[in-house]
Amino acid sequence: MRDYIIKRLLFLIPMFFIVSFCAFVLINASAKEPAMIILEAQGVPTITQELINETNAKYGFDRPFMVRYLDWLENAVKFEFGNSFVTKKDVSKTILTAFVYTLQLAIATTVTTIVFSLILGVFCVIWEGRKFDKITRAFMFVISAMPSYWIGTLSVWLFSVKLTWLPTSGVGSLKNFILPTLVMSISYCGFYFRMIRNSMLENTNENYVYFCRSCGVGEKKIIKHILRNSLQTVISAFSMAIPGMVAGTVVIENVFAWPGLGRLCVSAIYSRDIPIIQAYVLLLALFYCTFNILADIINAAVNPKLRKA
Amino acid sequence: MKKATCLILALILSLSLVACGTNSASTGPSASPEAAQTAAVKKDTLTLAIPKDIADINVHLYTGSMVAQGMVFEGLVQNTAEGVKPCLAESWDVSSDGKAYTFHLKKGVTFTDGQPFNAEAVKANIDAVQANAERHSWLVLCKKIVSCDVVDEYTVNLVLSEAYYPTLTELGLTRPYRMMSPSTFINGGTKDGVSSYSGTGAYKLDEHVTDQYAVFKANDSYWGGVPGIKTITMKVMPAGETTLMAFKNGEIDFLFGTYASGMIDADSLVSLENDSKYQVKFSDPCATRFLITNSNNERLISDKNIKQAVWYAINREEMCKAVFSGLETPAQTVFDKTIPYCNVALDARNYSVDKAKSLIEASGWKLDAKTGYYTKGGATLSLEFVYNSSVATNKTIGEFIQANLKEAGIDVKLTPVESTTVQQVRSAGSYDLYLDSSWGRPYDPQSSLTALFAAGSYLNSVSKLSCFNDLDTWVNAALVTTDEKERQDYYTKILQALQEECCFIPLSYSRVSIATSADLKGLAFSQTQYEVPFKDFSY
Repeated sequence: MRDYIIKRLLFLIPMFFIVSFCAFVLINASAKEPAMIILEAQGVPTITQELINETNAKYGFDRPFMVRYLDWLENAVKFEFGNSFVTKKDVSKTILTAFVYTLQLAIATTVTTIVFSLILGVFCVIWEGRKFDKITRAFMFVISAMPSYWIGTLSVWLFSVKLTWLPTSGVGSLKNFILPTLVMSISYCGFYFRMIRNSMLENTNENYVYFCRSCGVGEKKIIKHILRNSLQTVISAFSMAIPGMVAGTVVIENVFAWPGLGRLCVSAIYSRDIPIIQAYVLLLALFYCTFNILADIINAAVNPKLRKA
Repeated sequence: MKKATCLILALILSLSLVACGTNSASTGPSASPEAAQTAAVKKDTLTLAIPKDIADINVHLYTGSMVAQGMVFEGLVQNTAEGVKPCLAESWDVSSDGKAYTFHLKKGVTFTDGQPFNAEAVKANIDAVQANAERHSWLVLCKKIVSCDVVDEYTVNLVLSEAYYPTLTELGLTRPYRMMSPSTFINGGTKDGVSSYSGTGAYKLDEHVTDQYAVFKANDSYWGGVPGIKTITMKVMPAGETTLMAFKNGEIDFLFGTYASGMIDADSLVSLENDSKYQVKFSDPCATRFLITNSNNERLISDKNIKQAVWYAINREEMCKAVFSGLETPAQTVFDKTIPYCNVALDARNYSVDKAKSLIEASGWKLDAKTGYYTKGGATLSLEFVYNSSVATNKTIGEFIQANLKEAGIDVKLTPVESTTVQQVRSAGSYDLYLDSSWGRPYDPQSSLTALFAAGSYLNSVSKLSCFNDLDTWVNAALVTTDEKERQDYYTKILQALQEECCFIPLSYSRVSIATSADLKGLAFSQTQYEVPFKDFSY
């Protein structure tokens, strides 16, 4: 198992180089001169050739491509991405602050999703084919088919404007977490609860269940066994969902004015704030890789057969 | 199962219908108890929604929010409805040749970091701007300033290379000639940034959390008296429903913007206007929305008849009603008549499809009954219409004009361009029609007109105009003459030539709107659409 973990972690090193090169090349592959992009990002009303030359010299764009890449890479390893073209603030700090907000939301959503998916999944299996199962599935089917910005707006209207229970948007208190977490969890719950339910139902027909029953093991204990055996696919799918949550919260962050990574990246794209975009791409790619490896390790821990692969 | 699904669907549908109906039918729900309590205790705070972070508010650069810069930093003079008025300079003298401006500064003014405001500070600021002159090439004054000399502690002399009449107006613009404390300069200047934001304005930046909020506190030692509103919080909010609901919930109590940059749509503004809890105010027309026509010969629009046909074929009255919900007014001249030197009698080209068609036919185009478009030598009369896609309204305007011109037999190809490449497309002149706006007061008319001759602006599109050389001469002459009558004559000739050549096809005059709670007093607008006079507001 130790060798397997080391092997998987070593895999991160070539991935880092590939991703960093892609992030750097793609941004620099723009048809526009980088100096022009910077000046536009800084809102200069009229851009002259002299200004472009001056900016090229200031930011070192007149140096060869590989020299610039290696410089950038050296700094990226130290988690230094320079300053934003627009705000002039340290990109690492800006990204980290936004990342923490998004991570908080992702963790809250993950916990809520796991709790609700498990509860609903287990009870739907216990009461399979009964009213609870039918209503839950119908409700989750309808609600998870709705776009999250729409549910978000509806929930703000209901809980903030009409009932005045919760703030409409922003961060600052625990109350601010409720609506965005709820809205994000709804779409994930619809998927994971069904996954747990199906996986558990498949397991109920396994031989070990019949064996347990024939031995007189209590129903609660049997459900526990079924659940444990059903979780493998769910864990694997969920491990990949966490980086997805971090990367894909743009809509929710916009609806709830949440100062997270998604909003930061979208505004950076609009204003062509290249240092932020590069740092975002690199971090998210590494985050995905790490979680992918984490999922492999968890699966390998659960199923020893996979360690040989 | 089916019953359950139907029941849930019906419930959600009814909930959403009720929610959607609140925009127009709501009488304005009561603010949350917390918000109401906060409002009762603190009647000297204001929270406004802004679409993006205030960023770096160094007033000698261009990345920061102009609203925020206007609150913190002041210039030697200020632009008002009555013309240029004193601000940090008590008075000024202009030499007879118009080349030297002597400013007598206000005494006893300090920057918010405690540094004194004096002639040395003015010189340091003007020198810092001039040291980064290439960045300010859009501003003619920057090219004219030769030196800024200290005469005594409270007198400075600004020397120009030649007379330039908008000198005072441009010194009063939001940027770049406003005053920052020289002790905050980095490397003796401001082009590499400043260590903190210290001005002489009515407010100082107290706290700033990027992409979340910025808090401004009243400057207790403000020379003009402490403002009634003591704390102003700017919250970064997404435009649209969230902001509207936060406003109705009392979390935000001030919305500001033009129609295009506004945080809420026109229908919501109208519904707030009808609610006694709120007040909605609109400024006088402050800028012009127009189409720039390309005069390059290879473009079909370069034919004067086609330009005129486009002008006649656009139904501005209908556009203002349908697209702008009546918040903008139809325009027939590139600058509103209330703009300095622009009260000139110019021929209007009122909506007439027949007139448009006859002009097109006069240029040898024949209407193809099958397609409904004019053709000549096998080519269709098709125009490329370029607009900045990041402004949501632009698409609607483009589609409206496309439908109008179709009636006149002109095919319009809409080309949305991202905001990051718009400047490049504009300066390359790769379009027939380009949707744009003037910068508004007090930049109009001088800055919008000088943009005609800037390579990074409209030069490529207008350089083939038959009157181009005359325009160049007249604009330059108008800017440097010291004779008021002569200047008016030049402007009259310029505006007549622009109208005759259809260089700009005016569409509408835009206004700034403010939506706030009914009890906020002293609501007014600045001369520029980019600032808000918060210091005059109180409860």
